[in-house]
Amino acid sequence: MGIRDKLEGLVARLHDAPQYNSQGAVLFVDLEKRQTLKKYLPLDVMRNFLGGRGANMWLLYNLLEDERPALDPEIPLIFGAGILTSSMPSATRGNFSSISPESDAILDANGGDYFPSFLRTHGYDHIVMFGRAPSWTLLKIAYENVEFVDAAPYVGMDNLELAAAIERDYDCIERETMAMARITTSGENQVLSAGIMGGIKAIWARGGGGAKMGSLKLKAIMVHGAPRELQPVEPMAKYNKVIGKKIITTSVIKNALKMVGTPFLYKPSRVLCALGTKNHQETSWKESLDADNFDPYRPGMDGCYLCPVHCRNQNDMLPDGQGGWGAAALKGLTGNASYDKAQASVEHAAARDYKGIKGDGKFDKYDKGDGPEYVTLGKFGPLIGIAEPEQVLRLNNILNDLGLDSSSTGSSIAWAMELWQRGIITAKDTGGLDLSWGNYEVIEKLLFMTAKREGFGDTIADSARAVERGKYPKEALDYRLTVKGLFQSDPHDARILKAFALGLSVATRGMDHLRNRVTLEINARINDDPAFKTALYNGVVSAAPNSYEGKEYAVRKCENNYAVGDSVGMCRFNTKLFNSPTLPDPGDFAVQLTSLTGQKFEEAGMDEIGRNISGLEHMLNFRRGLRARDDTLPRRWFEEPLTEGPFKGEKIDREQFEAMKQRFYGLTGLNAEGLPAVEWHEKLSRLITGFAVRVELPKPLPGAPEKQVVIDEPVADIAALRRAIRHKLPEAAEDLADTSWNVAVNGEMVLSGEASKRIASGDRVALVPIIAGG
Amino acid sequence: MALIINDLCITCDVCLAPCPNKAITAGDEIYTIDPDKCTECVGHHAVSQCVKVCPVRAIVPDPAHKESKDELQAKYERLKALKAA
Repeated sequence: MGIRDKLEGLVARLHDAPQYNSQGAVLFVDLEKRQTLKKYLPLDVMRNFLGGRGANMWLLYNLLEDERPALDPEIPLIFGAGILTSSMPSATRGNFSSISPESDAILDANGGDYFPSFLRTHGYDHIVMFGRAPSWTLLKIAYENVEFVDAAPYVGMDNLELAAAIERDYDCIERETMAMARITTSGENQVLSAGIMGGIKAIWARGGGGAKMGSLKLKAIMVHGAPRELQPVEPMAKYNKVIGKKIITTSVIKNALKMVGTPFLYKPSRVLCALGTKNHQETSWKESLDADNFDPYRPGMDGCYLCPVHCRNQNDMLPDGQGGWGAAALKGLTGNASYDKAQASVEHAAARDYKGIKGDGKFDKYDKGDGPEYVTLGKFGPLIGIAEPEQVLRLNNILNDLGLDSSSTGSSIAWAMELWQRGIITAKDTGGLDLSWGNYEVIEKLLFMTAKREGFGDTIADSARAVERGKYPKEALDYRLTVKGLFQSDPHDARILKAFALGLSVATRGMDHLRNRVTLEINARINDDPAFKTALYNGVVSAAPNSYEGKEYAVRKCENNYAVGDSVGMCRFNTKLFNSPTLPDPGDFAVQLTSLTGQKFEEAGMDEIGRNISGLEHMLNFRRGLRARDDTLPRRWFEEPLTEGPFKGEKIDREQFEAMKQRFYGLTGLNAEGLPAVEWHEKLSRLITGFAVRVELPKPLPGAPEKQVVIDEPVADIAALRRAIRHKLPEAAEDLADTSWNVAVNGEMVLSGEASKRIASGDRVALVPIIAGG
Repeated sequence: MALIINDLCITCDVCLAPCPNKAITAGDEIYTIDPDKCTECVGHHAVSQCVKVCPVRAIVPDPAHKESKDELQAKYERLKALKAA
């Protein structure tokens, strides 16, 4: 069976017309055969998983074949815009989803800028792409017209050049009459940390989406033409004002994000001594990278479509460039330095004295751009030993042009540097490159080599899979900071904040703060108000940041909020609990979902939808072989205590961590292996595949601790059911080969003609050992 | 015609920077557009920049200041000349 067979089965469950107000189509694109098909998802999908990320996962679950590797062209790459994308302030976003070629888990990258909104205003909610195109292709979408365009002229182009060439060739302007998701040379070369670019800086970064798109020979998806009609103003307009006001009156938005962007986070992490430094061997770094040191080069801010924040700090180091936007904005913000309030007043009065990266008065295109975010600042600052703001800015601009995920690329380089420091790799392995900490010249060169997979760049391009692909010896894994094979997204060392640690371990796409980070754990004001904190997280959460008690409540609530936020298209920064308790929450989203779709949504039901989405993602990961053992943390965090700061000596206690994780599983409704427990699993399966058969086992089996398993792949008879059980639980192969286990269906033993005995969804099956007697 | 900001405005300020004519003024309740300076971006951009970025769709054509594209172009030329003077 291939994806086309899977699709044929799925299409029978889809519709030819919208099922609710404002619903966009799903565009299925067979790149190999150059065919398209347009359908609409059933109403139940929206009611239970919303759109964007949630509906992407529904599509992926139904189209996935477990045995295929991530870069197999019959594993689809799916884009989905949120239901409220382009209809609500800061709802600008959409997700690319698939199986990650970089990690062992799902690929699910979220991004904004203009592409998701343009796609939705052209009438599409999702694009499902599969099959390898016979030659490099650009998919051009203009309302009803979908064209497969020869992309040969654009092959070899990186982000800036490609956008300019498309604007020239198609007489359009990005963000006005065109929006585009595209890959660069790093995607063409299937660099595992390659993202999909959505603008000068916007990127669907995590999990190797660029490599996946490159494997399909798809250079770009262009939505051509300004939106004919904007999404409806009425009846959402009045409540959009409420939501907009909530956003812009929130302190952290008004004082920090609008003024300097996310780099404001550098100081609180530095002061707490929780800043990953030199691959997390240390946890504090230089003041020279505090956000105010970038003021001289910040000419202004930019933002995504329909966002009132504009948090994207721009940079301009060219001789005639401007700076000074947001200068001194953070001075006196004590909330930005909770663990050393005196630091809030510290300013560095940095000078604008850049004279080219070599100090010779020569400048180029990488001396100007958008960014950096705090993530890039951390990964290309302390993590690799860089201390100069100008060097961080330039590396940021290069990363944006090369389309590389700064989290994974920075972590991959930091990993290599520690291996170099320890003598595990030498100049013989690096082709002569000196990987000493902070060696700027080599790092810049290595980025270009990575995009081309040249020399040692080929090793960095293999990201966390470098050992698996034979580039490093096995002992290198001791220094790889990953979960589920994905490097950590943000620079924060989570040995102190146990809620952060739990979140990173259970996040469904791997080690990533954007799935569930309980950011407010760092906020002293909230920790000092137990009643408020309990109400915030639906449970008692310890006020002590380094305690394990009750952190499962906080992570569960954040995971619910963020999954719902992604699926309606809302920016994480403006979703309640990520940056502030006063930002718009799922109750606000429910109001606007009701207005837009005509379907009744209530705040009380939104948590369950968030839980459904993460449950579905756990089910996908289970199919890829991930188990409870994979919800863990890097060895270093369990074994090496912090050596500095107010929490010196802190590390993760394995026993307490495991207990916290199991409490999280219980609260979420997962069994001991991290899979939705059978009753919930059965309910989800009916919603996802339309088929569920519960099978009782003679005893708990590896992978099935509940002594029961749910089969949700439609099977016709017992022979197929037995195959499906073996397929679902490969670790229990030996037990399942026991031919003495008979079958009972709905309480009746099948004593003959077992193989052809029909099975229907909803049946209860039991495997029953023959009891010898006589 | 010139554009006007209605009472849906949330005073987020993102329309200020992209206005090529510096026609927008901040206010406590809502921001305002000077119709003498607004060309709907004619002369500068294909799309009105403030309309493009307004997150609540509060910027609409001003029925009290109806102008043709030629009139807006003439206004643009006049503003350009004033700036150069």
